Amino acid sequence: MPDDSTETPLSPQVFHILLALADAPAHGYSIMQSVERETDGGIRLGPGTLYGAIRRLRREGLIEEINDGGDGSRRPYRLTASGGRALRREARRLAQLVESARARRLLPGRS
Amino acid sequence: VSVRGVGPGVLSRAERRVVAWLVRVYPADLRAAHAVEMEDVCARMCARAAERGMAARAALWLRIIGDTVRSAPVEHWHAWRERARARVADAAARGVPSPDFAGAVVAALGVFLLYWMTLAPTTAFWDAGEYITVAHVLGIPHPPGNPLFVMLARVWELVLSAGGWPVAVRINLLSAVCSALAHLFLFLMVERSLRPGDRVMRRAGATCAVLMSATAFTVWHQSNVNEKVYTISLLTTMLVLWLVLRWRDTRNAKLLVAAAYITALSATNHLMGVLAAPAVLLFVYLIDRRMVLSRRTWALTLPLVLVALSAQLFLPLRAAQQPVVNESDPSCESLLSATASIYTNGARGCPALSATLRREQYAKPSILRDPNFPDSPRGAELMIAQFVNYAQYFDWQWARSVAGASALFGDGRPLISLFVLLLVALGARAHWRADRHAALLHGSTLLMLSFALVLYLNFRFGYAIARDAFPDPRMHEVRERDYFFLIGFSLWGTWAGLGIASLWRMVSEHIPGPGMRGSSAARRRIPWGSIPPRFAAAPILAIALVPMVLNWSWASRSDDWTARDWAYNVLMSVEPYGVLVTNGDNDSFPLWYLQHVERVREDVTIVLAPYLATSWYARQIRDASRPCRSGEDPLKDHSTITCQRPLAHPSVHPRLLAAWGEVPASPPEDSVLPYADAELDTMAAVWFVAENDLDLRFGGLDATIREGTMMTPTDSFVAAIVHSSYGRRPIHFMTPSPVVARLGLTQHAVRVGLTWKLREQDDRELVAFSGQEVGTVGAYVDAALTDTLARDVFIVRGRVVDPQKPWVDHANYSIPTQYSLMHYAAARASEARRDAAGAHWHLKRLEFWNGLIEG
Repeated sequence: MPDDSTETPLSPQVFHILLALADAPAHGYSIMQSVERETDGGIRLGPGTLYGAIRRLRREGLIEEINDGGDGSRRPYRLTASGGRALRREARRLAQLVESARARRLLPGRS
Repeated sequence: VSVRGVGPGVLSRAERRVVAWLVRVYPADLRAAHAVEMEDVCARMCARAAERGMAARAALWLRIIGDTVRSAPVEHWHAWRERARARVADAAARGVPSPDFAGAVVAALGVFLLYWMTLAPTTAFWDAGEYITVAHVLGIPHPPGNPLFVMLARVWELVLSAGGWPVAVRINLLSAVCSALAHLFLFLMVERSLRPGDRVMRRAGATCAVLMSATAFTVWHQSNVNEKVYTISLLTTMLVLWLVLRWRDTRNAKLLVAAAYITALSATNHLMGVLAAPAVLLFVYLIDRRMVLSRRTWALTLPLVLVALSAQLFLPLRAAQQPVVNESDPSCESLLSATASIYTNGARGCPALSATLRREQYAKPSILRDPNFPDSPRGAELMIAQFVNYAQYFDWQWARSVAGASALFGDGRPLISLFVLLLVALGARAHWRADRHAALLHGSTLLMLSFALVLYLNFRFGYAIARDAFPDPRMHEVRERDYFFLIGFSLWGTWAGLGIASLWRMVSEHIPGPGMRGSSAARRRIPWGSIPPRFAAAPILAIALVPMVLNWSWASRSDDWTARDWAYNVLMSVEPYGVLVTNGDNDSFPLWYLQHVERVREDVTIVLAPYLATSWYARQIRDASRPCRSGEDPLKDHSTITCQRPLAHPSVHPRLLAAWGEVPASPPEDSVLPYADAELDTMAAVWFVAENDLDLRFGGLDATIREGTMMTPTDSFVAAIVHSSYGRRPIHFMTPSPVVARLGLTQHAVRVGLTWKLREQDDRELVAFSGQEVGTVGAYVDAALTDTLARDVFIVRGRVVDPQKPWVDHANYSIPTQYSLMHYAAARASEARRDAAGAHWHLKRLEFWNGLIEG
């Protein structure tokens, strides 16, 4: 797996796709719905954007396909260990950004 | 398309087709991996949207299509990048050297910066006005028509229009960019040839080669203005040479096919780009002769070559639309005949197009014949003169400013040229040792584009060669022809640059370095002992800067407005709706530029006398000067011939308008050549010798054609123009005018500014000349009008008024001479009118222009 793919910040789409797979494996349509739900419709992935991202994430070793013996129309994917690390790293980075914003009173403090 | 998992009937047949089409837009590997899933997702989204009604379903489809439009190009970009990476990795695994693109880009940017700094701000003399004009109006330049250049330059001009630069600057930038890109490939070639040497040496060698090539006088002087089409040929040649070198490394046959395609495409710019082909074929044969004989390679190549050559179809297609510049008018009756012409190189098919492709207009004799005496064989004396001419141009390349006024081997310049030859020998030796095949490719290309080209071109005596032995100007070329050898000088420069790098390496190897046995004592004895040998010897590399320094003042065209202002001054010398009969390139092409690009004085009918020997040109003159029909707008399309264009008053200085007095309110009511096609064809075929004195009468003008005068179709056409237009339009001539002399009209020539005008009944305040002066100055001078033109209207600025800047081209000394003659006539007229101050002013200007000629 290339290092640079995990060191650089993830795009919002990729972050949410990985997030959608954080709890359990899911297939493409399910990922799409999950991302839309998580972002309150802020990110709505189309089929091309979704599978382009899935293809790259597979190549980079961040997700992998689970062989479920189906006909290939609904292949499930899951996070790899690297994908999990990349997701946690990105989550920490975003959390740090939020903390910085809070410290500057750009966001309300913790209740 | 079968959408599985959501049951039948979710998508209509039309929707299934759309999905299939959308999926096909994506790269193959993405389709292979995920097409079924993408179809399934589309079906599921549709099923969900269908629950919310038709509007939601329609909105969903818009969303899916929008997503495809956005994401498909991104996916193709990723796929391309991955393939490129894979190729690089594969090449690295096989030990194929990767090109030094970073170094090449830096070198090309440096070259571009140099050309940008010295770029012409407008047109220049000779063919620049013609090529800038045809690029702008999508016209057809002189044979062979250069369709690739015209189309490329027009697109380039449109793309750069967002930059806000004037048209001429945009077209000049095309030349600069082509040349800079050519040096990018030159850098890659040299850098590759020096492998497996270390990186510093390779880059130093390639940089020196690029410097020496890019700053060779002719390369530089042709790259900072678009005077010709040869910078495109330079680019295609360098690209083809690099592609075949790259093919040697990668053995990717597609590179050879690409090289063949580019060579064929380059042929539609100019045949110059094809001259490297024999060298390339030899190279390929030596590396892998199977490729030359491979049916598969030829099967791939030939269709692409045919496609590339189809660019020539531009010529008949555009000619049929009558652009304002339509030289030789290569219109064809049918596409079939045009195609036959193109693919038989003019042996069959459309006569007009064939004549253009074969350059029949120039009637070049065989290379075995003497161009001055086509019945005689090409003699040794002429051949020697031709090679001396080439040596003269070689001598210009490296230090043009040294004894610059001397066109022929001035003062110390030949010593510098000999030193460069020594560097060339060193460079060729280093090239041969580093990479024999590449050196052979380079050398054989150089041979083709230098010595073989001299033999092929078979020029008359060079402009400055053997003037004493052969004083008749018709035995000499009308101008210096160094531009034909541009690519060759680039290749000479490349070897000279390699020679400099080789010298650097040799010297640095002889400087004792740290760690060498006995070096400590030796190094202590020399002042730079603590410096590594390469750095100590590095000043040698500065030799590569010598041509840049010593050519700069001669090669730079920055702030050079001379040709543009000359054209402006000539056009303003012509009275409203006048006819101006010109003599050749310099008094015609800059005027075309001004009329058709800057749209200044479009009312003037420019008649290029040498072209009048052809009926196609006579027809164009007739049509461009005919009165407009009702409802016809002459200003609707400036790029095509419509009818007589009106005088635009805002483009004329108010004092000149006042000096003209009454300006016609509307254009003249007839064409300058109101004849039918058949009559024009007849006139174009008539040559005769006057057996007796022939008396002619044009309105109130008497003229006599002297016994024994050879009358050409040009003379007949000019006589016809004078006959039909005298009294209706002012008739002007550029001076000296051989046509005026042959028609016996010199006695009626009135100098008006930079032109002669045929005397009219109501001309005022004419001062008469007599004796031999009449032949050069004119029989009269319109003192008031010439004075107004010279003082208030004419523009003379930029480089030409800087005493530090030389007049670069001695072949167009006729330009300052024309200014001198005008001021001389005006000074004499002022004296005759007892205006001492006026005479003094004109004499000072005369001195200025003479000073330019004398250097």
